[in-house]
Amino acid sequence: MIVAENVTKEYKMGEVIVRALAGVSIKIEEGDFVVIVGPSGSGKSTLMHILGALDKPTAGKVLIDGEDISEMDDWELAMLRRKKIGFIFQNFNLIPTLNALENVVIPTEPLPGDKTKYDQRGIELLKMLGLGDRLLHKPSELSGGQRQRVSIARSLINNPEVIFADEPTGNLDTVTGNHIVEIMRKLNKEEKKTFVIVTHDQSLLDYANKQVFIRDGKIEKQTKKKIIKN
Amino acid sequence: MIKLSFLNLFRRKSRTFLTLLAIAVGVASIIVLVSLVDGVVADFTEVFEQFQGLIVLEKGAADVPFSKLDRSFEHKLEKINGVKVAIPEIWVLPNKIDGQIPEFSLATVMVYGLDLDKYHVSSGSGWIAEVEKGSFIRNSDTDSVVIGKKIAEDYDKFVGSVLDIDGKKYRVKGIFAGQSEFIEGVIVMPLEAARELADLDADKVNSFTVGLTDPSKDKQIAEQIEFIYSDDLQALSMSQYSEQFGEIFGSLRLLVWAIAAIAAVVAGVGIINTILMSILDRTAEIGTLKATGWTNENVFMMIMYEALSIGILGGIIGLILGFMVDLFLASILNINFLITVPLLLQAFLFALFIGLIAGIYPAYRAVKLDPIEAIRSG
Repeated sequence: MIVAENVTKEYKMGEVIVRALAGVSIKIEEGDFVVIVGPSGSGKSTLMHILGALDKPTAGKVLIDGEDISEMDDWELAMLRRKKIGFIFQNFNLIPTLNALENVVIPTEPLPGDKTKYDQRGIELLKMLGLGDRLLHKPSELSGGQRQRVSIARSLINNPEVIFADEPTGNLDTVTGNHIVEIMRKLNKEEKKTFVIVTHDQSLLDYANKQVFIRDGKIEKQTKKKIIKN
Repeated sequence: MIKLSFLNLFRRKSRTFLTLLAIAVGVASIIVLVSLVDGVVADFTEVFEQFQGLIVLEKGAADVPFSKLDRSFEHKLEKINGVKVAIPEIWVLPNKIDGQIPEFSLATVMVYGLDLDKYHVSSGSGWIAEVEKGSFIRNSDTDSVVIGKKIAEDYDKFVGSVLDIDGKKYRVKGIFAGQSEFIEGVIVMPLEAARELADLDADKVNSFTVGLTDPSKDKQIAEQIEFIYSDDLQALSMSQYSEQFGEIFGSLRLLVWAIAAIAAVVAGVGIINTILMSILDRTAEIGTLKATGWTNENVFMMIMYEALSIGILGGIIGLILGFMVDLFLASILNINFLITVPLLLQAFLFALFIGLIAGIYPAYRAVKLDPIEAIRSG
């Protein structure tokens, strides 16, 4: 469970101090499918980075499973991300020289011990996502939707509790985008994975059990609801 | 991780290739230059080892051709305790051989005139190596010479051939072979024949080779000679010569290393640049690795592996390149290169070291990348 209490984040841009988040409180519970929407510059990405232990708040508290991330150093944050958190990006951020399977297992590369069990899990994940016949393809040989599925597999390789997705459909056409969100919903339902999706695409709200509207660094509206789409 | 580092290198093939080339040229130049110096030293050492005894020169003369001594020192020297024999010598740098100006090289052609009868008595400790073909000569063989193998090869001479030195004709009686080109570039003739060539007064010689009853006492006896004839003579023992020589070439070797090392350091700057650029190309990727749980140490090591790989690969290519350049130069220039395992190892380790050092700054920069900025830039 992730709890943010009155989180503020300020950046210094030259002489100017930019306040990206101005007192945000939010609770993400196990099994949630959270969609955070807001216009660009609203602070939604900053919120995601802080909830995902990529960044620390300027003020306020972020507790991930009860542990305060503002007390942690770089190494502890990396360990936290390694064990509990997965990321999916708008640009997929795959490594072009590695094939699909190698990209999926790259987060486990620094881990000690037997690599074959990670390869095994990587193959299972790619098969589950319908890429069983694309294991050895390079990203350049895959379509946008296929690439995003590889990056979903990568986010799952360390079996995290919560997966953060930053505009996961932003670089995809509507049909492919919907397919990707459906995959995430399926993982949410069947594998009990928590998802936090940041987007400006309002149509994704239909999939969420928790909708968050953010503007000017503040949460405008936060609603819990029944999921409309599956 | 090592595989990833390695793959990263080959994303920008031409950039990596140029950096590899720079390192390889640095390593190759270390090998070529140092092996050249070592080769020359090895040749000289051969000469020193063959020669036991002292060389006595005019005080203050830089080398034998510039020294001029009264022949009367011959008997004076032989009266000194421990001196077995003093052989008078005349050294001539010939202007023309067979009508040609001798080619300038490290092993210049020298005419060496000496009291051959005495040389025989002293049972051959001196500059002349074993006669391989033909026979040795005596003082009475005034129109005859014994030549080194290099001269025989360069001027196409056999036993019985005629050799023209500065317009005078000599018959080749024997050919000797030594281990060193310096010895094989010598033309031996009787003292009086050389005097004619050198145009030296009848009572003058250039130097004496002094044979000792106990060669291990060479330094003491040299000091004794210099003490007794402190106004006229300097006496050099071969061990002294060898030490002086060793010092000169030791510092030359160091200088050559330094020059080549500068080349390699420049190549190291090339590595820094290559890897920094490649990090800039890959900010999003490095950010992603961090987001997925790679620690700063993991990222640091990945970049270090890349720099080390360039060092190792460049080192290996440099070793091969240096070896080939040596073979090529040796085949066209008639120079002996001495490539030793320690030299190859040192040059390789140097490349490795450069890679290691050059990796640190880019790796540090990669660690400092903010994952958020990095992801955004993707």
